[in-house]
Amino acid sequence: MRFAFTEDQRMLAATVAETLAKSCPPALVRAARTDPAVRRGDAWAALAGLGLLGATVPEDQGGLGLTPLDTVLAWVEVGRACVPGPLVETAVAAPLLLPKGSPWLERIAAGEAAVSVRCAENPYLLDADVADLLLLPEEATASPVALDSADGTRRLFTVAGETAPGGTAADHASVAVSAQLLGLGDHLLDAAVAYAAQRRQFGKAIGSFQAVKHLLADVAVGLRFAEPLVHRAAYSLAHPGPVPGSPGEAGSSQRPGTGPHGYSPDIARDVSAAKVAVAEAAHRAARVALQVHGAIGYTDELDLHLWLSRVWALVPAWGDPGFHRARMRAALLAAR
Amino acid sequence: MDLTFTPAQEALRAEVREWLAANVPAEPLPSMDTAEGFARHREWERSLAAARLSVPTWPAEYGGRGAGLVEWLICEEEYWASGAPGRVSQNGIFLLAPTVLHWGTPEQKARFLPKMATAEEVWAQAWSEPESGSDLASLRATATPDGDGWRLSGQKTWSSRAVFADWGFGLFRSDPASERHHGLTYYLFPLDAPGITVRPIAQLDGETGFAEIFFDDVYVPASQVLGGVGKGWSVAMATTSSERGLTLRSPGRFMAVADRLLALAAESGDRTLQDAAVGAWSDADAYRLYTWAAVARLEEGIELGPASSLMKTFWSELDLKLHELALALRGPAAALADRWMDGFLFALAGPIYAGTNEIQRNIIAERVLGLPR
Ligand SMILES: Cc1cc2nc3c(=O)[nH]c(=O)nc-3n(C[C@H](O)[C@H](O)[C@H](O)COP(=O)(O)OP(=O)(O)OC[C@H]3O[C@@H](n4cnc5c(N)ncnc54)[C@H](O)[C@@H]3O)c2cc1C
Repeated sequence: MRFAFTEDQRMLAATVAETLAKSCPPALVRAARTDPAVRRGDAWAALAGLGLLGATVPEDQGGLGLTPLDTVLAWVEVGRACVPGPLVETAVAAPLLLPKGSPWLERIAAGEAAVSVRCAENPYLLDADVADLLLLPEEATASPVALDSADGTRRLFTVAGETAPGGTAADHASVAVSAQLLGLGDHLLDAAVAYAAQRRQFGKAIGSFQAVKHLLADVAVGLRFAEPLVHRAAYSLAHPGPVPGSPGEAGSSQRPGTGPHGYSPDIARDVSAAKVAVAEAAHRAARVALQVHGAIGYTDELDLHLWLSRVWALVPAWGDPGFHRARMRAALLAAR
Repeated sequence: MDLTFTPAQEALRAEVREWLAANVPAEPLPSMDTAEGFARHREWERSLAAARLSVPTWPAEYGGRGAGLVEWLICEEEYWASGAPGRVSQNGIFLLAPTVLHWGTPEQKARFLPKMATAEEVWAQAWSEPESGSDLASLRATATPDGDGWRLSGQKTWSSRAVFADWGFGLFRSDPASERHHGLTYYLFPLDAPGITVRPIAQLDGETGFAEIFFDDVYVPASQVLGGVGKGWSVAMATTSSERGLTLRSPGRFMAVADRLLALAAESGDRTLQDAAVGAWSDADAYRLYTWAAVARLEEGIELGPASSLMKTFWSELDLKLHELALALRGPAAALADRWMDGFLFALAGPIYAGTNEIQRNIIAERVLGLPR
C-alpha cells in the first residue's frame, strides 16, 4: 500500500504548470471575458501539445490512453492557472461519451475540436458558442440559449428538453473539476500569503497579525485535507473493475478492503466526498483571500477575482454540493 | 499509487483482528484515571505486549516486530475498531520512545524501552509549568550539577497520569544564565525519587487525570540525561512532532468513532444532522488518507516537520466534531454520563494539549506558509 504518485505523474503536472505559466498569464484569462477565441486559443493549443486534451483518448486514436490517476495532478495545475474554456468537457467527459472509434476522438486529441456536454449533473452547456460538438441527451431540442455566468470567462447555455444522467463521464469530469478547485484554492492561498507579507498597516506587514495568520492557516488546513480525497477519487476511477485477488481473479495480492477501513472501491462515495470537501475548502480560500486583500480585492482591476469567480463557477459544476452530499448520504448510510 | 495491501499485510491484519477478538475485555475497563482502572489497563497492556502488539514498529530486541508504518496503521485500525481500551502507556510509547530511539544511548534504550513496551513502567510527561504553558521556553524548573549527576528543583503541572505513573520525562533549566530555549536539558526520573511530591488534580469529569509535580532537590544521575546537556529543546522538539503528528493520534481511532457516529445517524430522521455526520465521517477518512500520504513521504525520507501542526489542528477539531454530532444525534440521551459523553469531554481537551490550536495556527502560518513573525 502506497499513497503516492509516480515520477511520471508528477512530471506531467510539472510540465503542464511550466507551460501554462507562459501560455496562460492572467491577462489571457481576463481577455477570455471579451474575446471568445481565447477560450480555445493559446492555452488550449499548449495543453493539446502536451497531450492533456487527448490524455484519456486511446493511443490508437491519437491519445495517451492515461487514467484519471495519471492526470489528476495536471488538472490541479489547470485550475491553478485558471485556464478558460470547455477543457473538462472536451478532454474528460467527451471521450467517455463518444462511441469507440469516433473520428471526434482524434480531433479532440489533436486539439482541433472543442466539445460541450450536458447531463443531469451538468445541466448547463459550457461555452457552447466555441464548441464544435454538443453532446446532448437525445430528447433535447431547440438551439442553445445563452445565460450569464458568475464567471465572466465562461458562457453558459441551456437547451429545452430532458437531461440524461451523466454516469461514468460525470464522475470523471467531477474529479477533474475537483482537482481544478484544489489548484484554484492553492493559488488563492498563495496570493493572499504574498499580499499579507507585503501590505503594511500600523507600521507592520498585515501577515504578522495573528487574526490574519489564523484565517490563512485554516485555509491551508482545509485545502491540505481535501487534497487526499481528490487523489483517492482519481484512484477509485482508475480502479473500477473487480478487485485483484477476489474470487475468479488472477493475481497474488489479497482483496483490498478486508479490514474495517481497508480500501474498498466505491466510486460514487469517493467522487462525491472529494467534490464536497474541495468545494468547501476552495470556497473558504476564496473568501479569506478576498478578506485579506481588503478593498483592492473587491476591484475588477486586480486579477484576484478571476480566480474567485472561477471557484464560484466550479463549486456547482458537475454535481453541486447538494447532489454530492445526497450521494454520500446514500452510500454511507444505506450500508448500515 | 497502490491502495491494496500485500499478503503479508493482510496476514498481519488477520492475526491482529483474531487476537483482539479473542482478548479484548468484554466489559469496558474502569477509567485509567482511577487506581483500579490504571492497574487493569496495565494488565491489559501486558497481554498486548505478550502478543507483541504493544509496540509493533520497535525493534524486536525491545519488544516490537520491526514493523513499518503501514503495518503500524493496520494494527491501529484493528485495535480501535475492536473496541480495545485506550493506551495507558501512550505518553511513553508515543511521545518519549521516538525520542529515546533517536537520541538515547544503547544503555538507555536497553534499560527503558522493554519495560515501557510491557507497561511495567508507565511514563508521565512533565513539560508544562504553572507559568509556562504555551510559552514552554519560559520554563523555570532548574537542574544544578551535583557530582556525577544533577539536582532537580521547581514545579511541573498538568502531567497526565503522573498520579499513577512510575517515571517522568521533562525539561529543566541546567544553565542558570540561560534564556528561552537555550540551556535546557531533558531528564528522565522515577516519580518515587526522594524529593518528588505528586499532587493529584481532578479534571472536569472529577477524575484525577493529571497532577502537579514538585521537585525538591531531586537527585538524578547523569545516565538519565537524554540527548546531551543543554540540548533539551531540540531533543524535546523531536517529541512534539510525534505528539502533534502521526503517532499519538492514529486515524484508526477517529475512523472507529466515525463508524459509530454513522450508526447513530442511520437511525436519525434529521437530514441536516445526517449530512453533517456523513461529512464528519468523510473528514475522518480524509485524515486517514492524509496519514497514508504522510507515511509515503516519510518512507521517501521527507520529514513531517511543521506539517504535524496541520495534522494536530485537524484531528483535534475532527474529534470534537464527531462527538458534538453524536450528542446532537442522541437527543435527550445526550444528557447521560456514558461513553459518548466521556469521549466528548476528552475531545474538548484536544485543542488544548499537545500545544493549543492557536499555537498550531501560528506555526502553520509562520513555518508552513512563511508569514512574517
Ligand atoms: C487533558 C490535558 C492533558 C495534559 N497533559 C499534559 C502532560 O501530560 N504533560 C504536560 O506537560 N502538559 C500537559 N498538558 C498541558 C498542556 O500542554 C497545556 O495546557 C498547553 O500547552 C497550554 O498551556 P496553558 O494551559 O498554560 O494555557 P496558556 O498558555 O495559558 O493559554 C491559554 C489560552 O491562551 C491562548 N494563547 C496563549 N498564547 C497564545 C499566543 N501566542 N497566541 C494565541 N493564543 C495564545 C492559548 O491558545 C489558550 O487558548 C495537558 C493539558 C490538558 C488539557
